Amino acid sequence: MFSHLIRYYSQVYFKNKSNIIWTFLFPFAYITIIFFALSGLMEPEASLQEEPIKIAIISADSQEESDLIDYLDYFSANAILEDGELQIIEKNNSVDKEIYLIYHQTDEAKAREMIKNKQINAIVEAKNPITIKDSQGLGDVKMGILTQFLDGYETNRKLTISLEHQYEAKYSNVDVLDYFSQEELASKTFEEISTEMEAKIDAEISDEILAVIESQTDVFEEQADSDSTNPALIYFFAAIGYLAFYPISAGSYTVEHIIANQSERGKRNSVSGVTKTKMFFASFLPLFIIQAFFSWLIYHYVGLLGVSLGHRQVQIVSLMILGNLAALLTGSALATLLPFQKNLRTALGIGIPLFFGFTSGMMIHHIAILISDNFPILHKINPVGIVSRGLYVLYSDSNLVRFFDAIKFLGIYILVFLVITLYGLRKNSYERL
Amino acid sequence: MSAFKLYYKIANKHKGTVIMYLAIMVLIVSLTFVQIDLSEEGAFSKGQIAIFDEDNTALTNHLKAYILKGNEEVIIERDEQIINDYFYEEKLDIVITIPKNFTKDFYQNPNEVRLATDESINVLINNGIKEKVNQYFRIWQQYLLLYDYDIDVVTEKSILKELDQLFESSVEFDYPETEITPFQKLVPSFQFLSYALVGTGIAVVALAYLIMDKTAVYRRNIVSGYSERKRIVGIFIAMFLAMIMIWLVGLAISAFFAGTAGFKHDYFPYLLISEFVQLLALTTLMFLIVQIVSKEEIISFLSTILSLFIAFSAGIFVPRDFLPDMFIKSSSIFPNYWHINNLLYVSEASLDLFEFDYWLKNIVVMLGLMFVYLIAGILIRSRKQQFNS
Repeated sequence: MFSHLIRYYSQVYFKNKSNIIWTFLFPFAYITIIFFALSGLMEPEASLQEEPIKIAIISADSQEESDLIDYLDYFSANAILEDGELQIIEKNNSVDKEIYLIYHQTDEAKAREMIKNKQINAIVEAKNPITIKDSQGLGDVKMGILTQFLDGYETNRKLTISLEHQYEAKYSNVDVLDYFSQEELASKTFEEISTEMEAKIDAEISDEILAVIESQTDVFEEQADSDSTNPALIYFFAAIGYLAFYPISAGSYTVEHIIANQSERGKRNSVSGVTKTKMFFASFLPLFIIQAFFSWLIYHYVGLLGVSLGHRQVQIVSLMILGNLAALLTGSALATLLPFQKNLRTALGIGIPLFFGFTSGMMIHHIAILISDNFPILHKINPVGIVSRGLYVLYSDSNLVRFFDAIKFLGIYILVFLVITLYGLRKNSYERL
Repeated sequence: MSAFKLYYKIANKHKGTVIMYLAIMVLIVSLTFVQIDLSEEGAFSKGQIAIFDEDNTALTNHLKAYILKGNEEVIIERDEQIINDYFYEEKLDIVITIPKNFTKDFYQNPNEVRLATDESINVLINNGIKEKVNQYFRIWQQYLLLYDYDIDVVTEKSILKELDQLFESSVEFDYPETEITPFQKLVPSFQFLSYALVGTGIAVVALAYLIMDKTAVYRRNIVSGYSERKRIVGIFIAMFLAMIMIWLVGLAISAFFAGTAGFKHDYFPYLLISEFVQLLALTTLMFLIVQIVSKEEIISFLSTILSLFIAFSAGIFVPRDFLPDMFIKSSSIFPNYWHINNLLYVSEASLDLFEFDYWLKNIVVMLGLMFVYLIAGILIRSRKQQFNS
């Protein structure tokens, strides 16, 4: 009998078009939207190279301008204004160098015109000290990067001046015999010796300094998983938490079809003689299996998009499935508590996951921190947040202690809503219709 | 007028749903405001760093002070789980560990020393901090060369003093520093309001119309001899008023959190006109949606997916700087994209010169979209009626 009911409710579920939309279409459409929206955050450096900072360099001193451009050329490209846009005209040093900045040399009046027309982000005056005369459209991050570039130039300039003086002092009393043999000294005039010695010392110093500059010092140990980290993951965790918890309406659907006061099918089923609890589980089980299967599919779809959620597939999918279970039971509990308000239930089915998604940082991650600091209880019981944090700890922690904490919280949530559902079903069975 | 009244009667019957959607909208816009207040200005470019110095020498202390200059120090226990929690809560970007004997090894063989890091997923900030540290050591190496790798305490002291001067930022800013004005503070909430208007609009305003068009109600209207044109106009006005009411709720929240100072800004009327045109265009979009969709379940689906799509692609949730061009452009078929153009522009221009042309272009496009939706809606409606008859 039970297996017959499972078959029957599976067929009923698949015959409903809205179930198909919510189960099949929505999760994949949503993850695809999130993927496109966050693709720029996933590789911020690549994004910066795609959309480099555009500056106009105006000159107050031609030597300064030339020095600044020499420095910028390591990571920038020169551009001219063509058809109202900056077009790169050369890529110095190496063809495949990473370009974070595009510069255009011009005068102040034209630069002001360009910034007004949003053709550039900043006007930089090449003088001592370097001056940013105006900026537009640079967020905090890009402004920080530009300032860091220019600070680097200022530091190098000061360093060069300082080293020049110190090297002069160091080499002021060197032994001429370190550079010339006795024979050479005898064959040259004083001026020749002086000029050649200066050149040799200069070359020696330059070689040493250049060797350091070009050594590309990196004092940091390589990160073990640097290839898999990306700053958009936190948003993905929240989005997956939201998707795990969105099938609330499906949960309501399981109860609607077994209670007489909620649907025609419910009326028919209520006179069938099978207990409501049995019918509920028979209706619930296929739905749960379908949702669990889709959670597994979503996990792989996310992987297919190139976003790695980590390597603990079993734990990740289990967490998502428990999220599904929590959502389905929330829906079924709502259906038993609000038997006459179908529209409200539909609205809550959309509103509750959206609310929990928002408060767990799906749209702005800072909101999750705000909630955790000010409403810790809401933060702890938020099922989307539990799944989202659970995914994060699976990604970041070396052990599973906090993952089991997440499972425990979800378990309690599930148990509470299961009890509410079963109690609600029982209440209806006393003909309080 | 009877269609107008009927629309609100139906809306009243669904007031539970309406209140629920409005409550979510109120919550989202309110929390956005609280978030704006709490996040410090410039917080994105400021790194949050924890440094564990196991060497504790003059050089490492200097390095620590150098790294923390312009950044924020996070004092934290050295525990993997606590560190990970801090990363997740965005209270920490990077942990740098300076190993024992680092100074000694650096003076002997500068190319072989390494600093260990534990990093959050905030790559851009972390790489900036690491580059800053690398630059520090590149410059130090110049001094090692100068002193032939022979650094005694006195030399070290003088080098560190010199480094302080070298690293003193001297880039000047020759334009007034901009602070977020009350007017600019309004803009993010208006952006979220734009998102909420689509979600709530479809779920409430369009849904009520859909119910009105359901056969029984529609037939009753037809047999009463009420003109179809009058009926459409009545419903449209009712929908537009409903949209305005939703918008007014959002505006009230904005006034509650940001105060009314922003409303007195010279450019506020421009913002208001843009809001008004957006509302008109969105109402026609709702009208079109109801002509295409005839099932309540699909309306619910659309209210969720369409509002999220618009919010992500138009740059409401994620700054446009980080979005692919194609993705941003895909939202240009919706009025929200053009309205957000205006919001961003008016906010930026409030500190500079306002150019009427750019603002007007966005208004014209929104009006154009409105006509397209309206004509498409009317055409689809008349086709459907022909088919039904």
